[in-house]
Amino acid sequence: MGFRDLQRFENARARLDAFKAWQALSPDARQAAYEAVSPPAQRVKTAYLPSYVSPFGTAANSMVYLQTHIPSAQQSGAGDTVAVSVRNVVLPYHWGANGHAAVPDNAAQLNPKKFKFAKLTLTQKIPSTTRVSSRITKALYYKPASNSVSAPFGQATAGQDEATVIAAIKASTAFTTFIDTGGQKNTYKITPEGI
Amino acid sequence: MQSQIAERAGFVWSPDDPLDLLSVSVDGICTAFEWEGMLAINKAGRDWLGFKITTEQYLEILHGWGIVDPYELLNEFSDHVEAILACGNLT
Repeated sequence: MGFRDLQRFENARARLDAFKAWQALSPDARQAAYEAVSPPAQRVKTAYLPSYVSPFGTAANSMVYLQTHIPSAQQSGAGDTVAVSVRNVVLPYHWGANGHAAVPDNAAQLNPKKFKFAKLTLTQKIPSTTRVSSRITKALYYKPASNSVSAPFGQATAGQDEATVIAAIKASTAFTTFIDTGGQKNTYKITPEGI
Repeated sequence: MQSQIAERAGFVWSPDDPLDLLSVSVDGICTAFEWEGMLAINKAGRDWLGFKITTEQYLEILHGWGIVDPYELLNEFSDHVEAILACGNLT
């Protein structure tokens, strides 16, 4: 250990003391400190409606429809615009009263318990112009507002595979509009379906 | 047991789909490599949770797509699963 490390400790000492003080806090006090930087009122509460999604690669004569949900067109509070963006992207892949078309007559409609849908998550990042202090180290930083909404998706027509649908989502106007707004800071992720 | 995921989220988060704890995202100015990597890493997470690939293979895939310390992701996941089990919230 050289002198440089010793100097570094002196510089970081205030942060270390703040960190130790945070570690000594009770769970209630930690929760209060968390809610001071991330108020519960600013958390996303998305309204969902029931709908049906068809898993990838099922053929026309055996196309099954699994019960799930889609963000409602009517949203309020934090992240309301994100929820509508997600809805617009995944709408072509949803059926039923709240989807783009009705489920065909006599089609198999199932309510799966273990099936995991392929899922699209869009996250809106709104940069902050004022700095807040970290609840742990008390360092000042620009905390962006981060609003995240996700929705399941499946195939749009019979026999489509996952890669085709993901490429179609990536090229869709609703998707590119969302990621191009806000200085391209918005993030997104796609997780595959599975059991 | 301390869960960093729970500390970041502010509550003991037990998602319907455990993949939510392992998945990664990209931003609007990502490269084609990062886009492919996001899909591949999330697919590998699904395969790993479904016992289709071994932990070793999973770590290799993460490393191959540019995650410098794959253990970090896995440690956070296992710490969080332990925290959920300790709370008895796992259904």
